[in-house]
Amino acid sequence: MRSRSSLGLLIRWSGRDFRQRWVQVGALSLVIALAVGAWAGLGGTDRWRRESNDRSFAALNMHDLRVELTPGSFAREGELAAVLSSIEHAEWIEAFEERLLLPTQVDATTNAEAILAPGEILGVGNDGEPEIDAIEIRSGSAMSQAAGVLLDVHFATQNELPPTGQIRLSGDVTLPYVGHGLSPEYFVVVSDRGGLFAASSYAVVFAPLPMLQELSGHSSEVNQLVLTSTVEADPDVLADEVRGAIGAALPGVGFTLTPVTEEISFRLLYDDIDNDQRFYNIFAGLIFAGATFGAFNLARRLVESQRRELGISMALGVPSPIIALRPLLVGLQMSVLGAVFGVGVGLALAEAMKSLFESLLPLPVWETSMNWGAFIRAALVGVLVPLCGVAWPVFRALRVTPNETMMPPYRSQSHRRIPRIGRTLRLPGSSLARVPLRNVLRSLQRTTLTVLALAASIAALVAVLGMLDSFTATIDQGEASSLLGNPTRITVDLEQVEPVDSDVVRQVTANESVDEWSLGLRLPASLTVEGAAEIDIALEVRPLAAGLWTPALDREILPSQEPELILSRKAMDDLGLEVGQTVTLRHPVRQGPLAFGLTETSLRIAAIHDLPLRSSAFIDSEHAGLFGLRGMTNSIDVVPVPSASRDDVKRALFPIGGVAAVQGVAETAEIFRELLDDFLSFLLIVEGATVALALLVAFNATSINVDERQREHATMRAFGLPLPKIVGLMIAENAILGLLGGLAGVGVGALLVRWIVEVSVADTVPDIGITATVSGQSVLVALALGVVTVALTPLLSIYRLRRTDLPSTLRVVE
Amino acid sequence: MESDFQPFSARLEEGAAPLISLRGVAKKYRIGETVVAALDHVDLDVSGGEFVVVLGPSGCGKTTLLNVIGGLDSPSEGTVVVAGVDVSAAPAKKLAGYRRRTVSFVFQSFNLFPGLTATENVQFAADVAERSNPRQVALEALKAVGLEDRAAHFPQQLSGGEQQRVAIARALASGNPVLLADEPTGELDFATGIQILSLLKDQADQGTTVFVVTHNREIARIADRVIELSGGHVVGIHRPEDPLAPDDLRW
Ligand SMILES: Nc1ncnc2c1ncn2[C@@H]1O[C@H](COP(=O)(O)OP(=O)(O)O)[C@@H](O)[C@H]1O
Ligand SMILES: [Mg+2]
Repeated sequence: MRSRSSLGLLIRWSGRDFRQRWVQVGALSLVIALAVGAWAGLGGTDRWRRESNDRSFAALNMHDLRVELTPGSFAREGELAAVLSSIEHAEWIEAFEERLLLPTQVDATTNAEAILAPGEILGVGNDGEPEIDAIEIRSGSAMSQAAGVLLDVHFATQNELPPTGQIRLSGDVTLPYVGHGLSPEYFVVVSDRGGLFAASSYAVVFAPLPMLQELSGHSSEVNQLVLTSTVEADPDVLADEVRGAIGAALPGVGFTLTPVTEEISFRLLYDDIDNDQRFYNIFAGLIFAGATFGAFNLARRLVESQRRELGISMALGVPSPIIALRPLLVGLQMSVLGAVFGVGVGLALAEAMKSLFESLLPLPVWETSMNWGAFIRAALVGVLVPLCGVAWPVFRALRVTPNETMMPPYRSQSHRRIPRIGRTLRLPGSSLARVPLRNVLRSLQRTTLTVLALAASIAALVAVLGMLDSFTATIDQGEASSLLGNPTRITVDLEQVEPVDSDVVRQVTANESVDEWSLGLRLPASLTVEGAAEIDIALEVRPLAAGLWTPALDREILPSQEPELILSRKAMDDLGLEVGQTVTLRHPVRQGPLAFGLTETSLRIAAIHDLPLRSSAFIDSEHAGLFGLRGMTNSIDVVPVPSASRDDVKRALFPIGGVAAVQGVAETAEIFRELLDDFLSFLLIVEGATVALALLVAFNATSINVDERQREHATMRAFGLPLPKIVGLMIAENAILGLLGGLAGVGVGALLVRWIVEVSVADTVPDIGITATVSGQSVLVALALGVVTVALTPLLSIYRLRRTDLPSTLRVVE
Repeated sequence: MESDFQPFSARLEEGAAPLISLRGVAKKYRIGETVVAALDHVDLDVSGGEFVVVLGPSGCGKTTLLNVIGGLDSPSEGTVVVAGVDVSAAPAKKLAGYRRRTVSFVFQSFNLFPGLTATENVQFAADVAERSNPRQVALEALKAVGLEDRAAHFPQQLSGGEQQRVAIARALASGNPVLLADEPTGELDFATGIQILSLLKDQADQGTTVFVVTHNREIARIADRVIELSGGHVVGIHRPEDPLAPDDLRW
């Protein structure tokens, strides 16, 4: 009976505690909510993304193996398919389809805007839908020979094209399109120029196969075969059998085999997941750490201010567990509220991430849900942190004598310890000016925890800003070096290699919008070296001594009799090579007018260029013979006449038959910059969480300070110090904390940027050589945000300060 | 409102302009139905350099009287004029200025700033009162209370008596003409209490008007003037014929 009534008293008491401190308890529970929510919302993207990918690829029946003839080579329709029946495990093949893929240029110009983009057109299905790599109609209707073609949804939406309309293709062909489609091969659009994300500037068009065959003059010809296999199939064995069979059936024709796991869209979607998750984990972890430091520190201080009451209870002989119960109830209130708010924060963050992903990757199936497992784990920690924060001072109070616990601070032995730095530091200036710094030094433990909490949140911000900086710096550098000398340079790609004196070449070079020009070749190739993974490159064969543009090199090179390669720094590093060593180049060799085979040549590396793209590689035109392409070209550099704009040149060259793409060199950088815009949404999410956390931590710390220093502030006012000056002192104190937290955060953030860029991003986007950079501007922004947010929180306490009843505050005897 | 109680008149002799002058001062608290009068109908004149002891049992309104004079609290009725300033009618901002320039406090529980050293605590008052050369002023005040060798110590490192001496030094450093000490010896042992009282008495001898609040009748024996309070009323004012020196006190 007795214990029940004392329990009732305790509950009422803690209810009164809550009413008295609900602002602090509420703000603290929001800190915990941020931690729990960040963990739950950012922590589980890998699970739902993997699930979304699985279901999306399955929904559209993604192929398991793709055979692609070397560009320029074609097979008669049915020829490739016929080969399949001859293989040993023919029963492993579930379904197959032949297709025709051609490079093209797409003019989707609307009334509003000139839209001219390189791209490709894929002929699939007899009339209508392909079975394998099905096309989901995102808007409009299905394609047919009668009605028209489909535009890839990425290109269409990025350029805000209507659901139906007209496009013009290379060779001055005008076609109606009837909708926007999404195909699993193009979940992520990658141009043929060496692996760039290129949603807006690379146009993919889907057409019924017979329609494309007729349009392109390749009637009854195909150059690709895709197949799906049964579950029993061994992909490696199957690939070997298919390779052998095609090699035997089409001697002299080069071809590549790509299993689904090597398809770029598939690889990027899955490979990204773990890297991205690791990246989000950093931010979730930082926010969690910041919130944990903050919550622990604040919960502790909240209870420390009840120390005297603890002592009285001890003196009255109340058993320790009961004494501990009341503060623990306060801790429990915080953690329960924190967990409840955490659901909200978690759902909001998951929703933000979901819409971020949906806008980045329009998959047919998006399975996003709150990660309840992660939430529960985070909530458990979230419950424990304030409880520990509360238990700590209770434990300390219960360990000493009640007398000691009850003593006013100016008498208590345990409070006599003053940090050495505070003791020995001689400060100049007026005593007022010293108050903020003295307060910071008063309890180093407290200061440290507050600073760590701020530092963690600012580190998250710096990490995001730094990544943006690193990308921006890389893009700027790439742009600067590719624009060197001729900023208006435009690259004209031909559909196939042509003799330098062919009609197409003449029409391009003689066009009145073209001022200067030089001829080169652009060939897909790869680099291998013993003990390193193969690297795909876009090899440019160009006149290094006399062209319109030459990459900036790390050393002088002399014309040499032997062909020599110029590679990117990133490729060299990834292959573990140095200038002067040799590397094996797998490259096409022309074997007939339009037939190519693949071969390998060992080449010396002559120099390193400064483009940040790993796939960029160069060889002098002198050595075009290596590819059987002396006197041939498929890539022309042009510089427009001063009166012609980039769009003018595009419009002028586009109708020329045989021209596949016309693209300003400056556009690559523009594409990358667009890509960074998507990243900005993530920056906003982190920024919001960071600022909220810094604000909450600072607000709580200040609010507890106001409680703890009531008497000090009243004394100051008794001596005539006006309220605004007292607020000024608190602002100065917080500014010091904000600055310390900001500096620590910038340091940790800079290290994180290095780690993310050099380890994580290097894995995800191996094609780009990024240098970790944190710009001065980012440092200033992070510092300013930290300092200003934290410094201004005392303003929120003005009302409470003003309301203080001076006589009673001063009267109360400790 | 008029009560039939005749307040004890504490007017000064004609001619000497009072430094502090209270007329009909009352301070009432309403808690629900009940009205508590912490002070009621207090009239009082005090001239510069007096050592005034305010005497009375706990709860009789001593602290309230001090707070009203010090501009920490405003009376519900009546006027308080100190050095020509009507403290009772002044807005908060003017009151802060008044506290900066005219009065300074010594509290029973010292109320030193725990984050500041002894010197800094003392210098604080000099800074706030905008005295020139505040650090020098602070060191001199500390010397006056005999604590020059503890200048760099923090309050936690000082005994209660030492802390109270720092508090007095702090009040001195403001250089203000009125010093208000609320039970300055309440927390101290006898010997230390005597030491503190001597310091305060010295101040009065040097021209500062000093109010010392106490419930200890013995202390009244060193006063120039004793004001007895009871239930918020002034019930007696007298001047000891021949004030004792603090050292002669026994309790
Ligand atoms: N804020 C307040 N609210 C209600 N009553 C108060 C308040 N402050 C003081 N009192 C009352 O006024 C009376 C005088 O208080 P005080 O001046 O502190 O007395 P003393 O200093 O002589 O002990 C007391 O009865 C006290 O209860
Ligand atoms: Mg009192």
